[in-house]
Amino acid sequence: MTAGQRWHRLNLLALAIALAVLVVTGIAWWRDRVRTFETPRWDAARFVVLAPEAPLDQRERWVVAVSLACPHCQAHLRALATRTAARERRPALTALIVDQPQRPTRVMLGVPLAGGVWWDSTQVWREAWGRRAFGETFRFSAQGELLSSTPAGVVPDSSSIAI
Amino acid sequence: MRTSTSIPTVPVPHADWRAWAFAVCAATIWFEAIWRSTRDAPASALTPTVAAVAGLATQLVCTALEASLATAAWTSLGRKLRWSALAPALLTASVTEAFAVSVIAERPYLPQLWRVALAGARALPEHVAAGPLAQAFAGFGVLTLLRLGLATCAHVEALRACTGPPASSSGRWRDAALVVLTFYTSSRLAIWWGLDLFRGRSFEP
Repeated sequence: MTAGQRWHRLNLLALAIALAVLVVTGIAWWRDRVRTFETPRWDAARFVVLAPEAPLDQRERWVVAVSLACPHCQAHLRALATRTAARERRPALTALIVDQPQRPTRVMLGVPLAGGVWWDSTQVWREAWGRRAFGETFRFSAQGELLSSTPAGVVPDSSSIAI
Repeated sequence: MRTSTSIPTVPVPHADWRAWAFAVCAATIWFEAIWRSTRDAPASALTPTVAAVAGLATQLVCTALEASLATAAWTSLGRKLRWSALAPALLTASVTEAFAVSVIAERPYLPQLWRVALAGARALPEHVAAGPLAQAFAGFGVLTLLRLGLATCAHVEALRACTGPPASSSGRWRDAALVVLTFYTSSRLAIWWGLDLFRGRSFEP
């Protein structure tokens, strides 16, 4: 076999692999889109408390999905705490530790959290809610209903304001 | 039993060295555009030189892969294109994207309307919060159209020198445009699906 023939075969192999990757991605995407997920709702009974919450009255609860391996989402949590500190009616900032198979022994997030720290031991965030982006912030009403969900770097109740 | 046949040799045109010279110029422009945009970025984890080297290497690998896939696609259509005829021309065509990078980076110097028209919606600061489909096509602007046009020219030129069944000039343009558009659409679909899978239902109400 000549070098030219080998090169052509290599190119054809690359094309076949690219096509296969495209088809597999398309099938995975389609399967994911037809799957139904729950609308997120704050139900403390589904999570394990790691740091208790303060009395919340009728305040909103802002839950940040935190991965302990993600400094970016932890920084977002701290930035949110700073941004809301001066408010007259502060939301109850809550950390939900996600994608953590073992119960964390010690969680140091560097910020006081009125809503407490919770461990998503049964993967509710990923499996039941279908969420995958760390740092996503959920705004829940005092009754636990979802008001909005926004990416890290955004103030949840003013989505046009970047932190 | 399969017999081995040699691929007919195609005479190397004299213009080959010019194609590679243009490609070297395009690589230099890519380096400069990435270096400047990293230097002007408010917060970057990489130094401008490291970012420019990494960005240029990525661009070269992507162009080489694009040329490989295109060569294979043409082979499956019965035309034997030379990779070395296509790759430098595709790198030269990609220089419009380097300009788009510069247009996005140089915010204070161009009105927003111009930046969006040239580089697409990614020039808007709020595009980061857009959905995966919008993100996948966020780069679509005049410069992308120009790149697609230049890439089509590159394919037509490579087809002229290829072996295989002869095709009319209009047939070459039509086929080349079809291949370029198929590649572009496929890459956008892959980005859309990939981003969507990466995000899941995040940020959805």
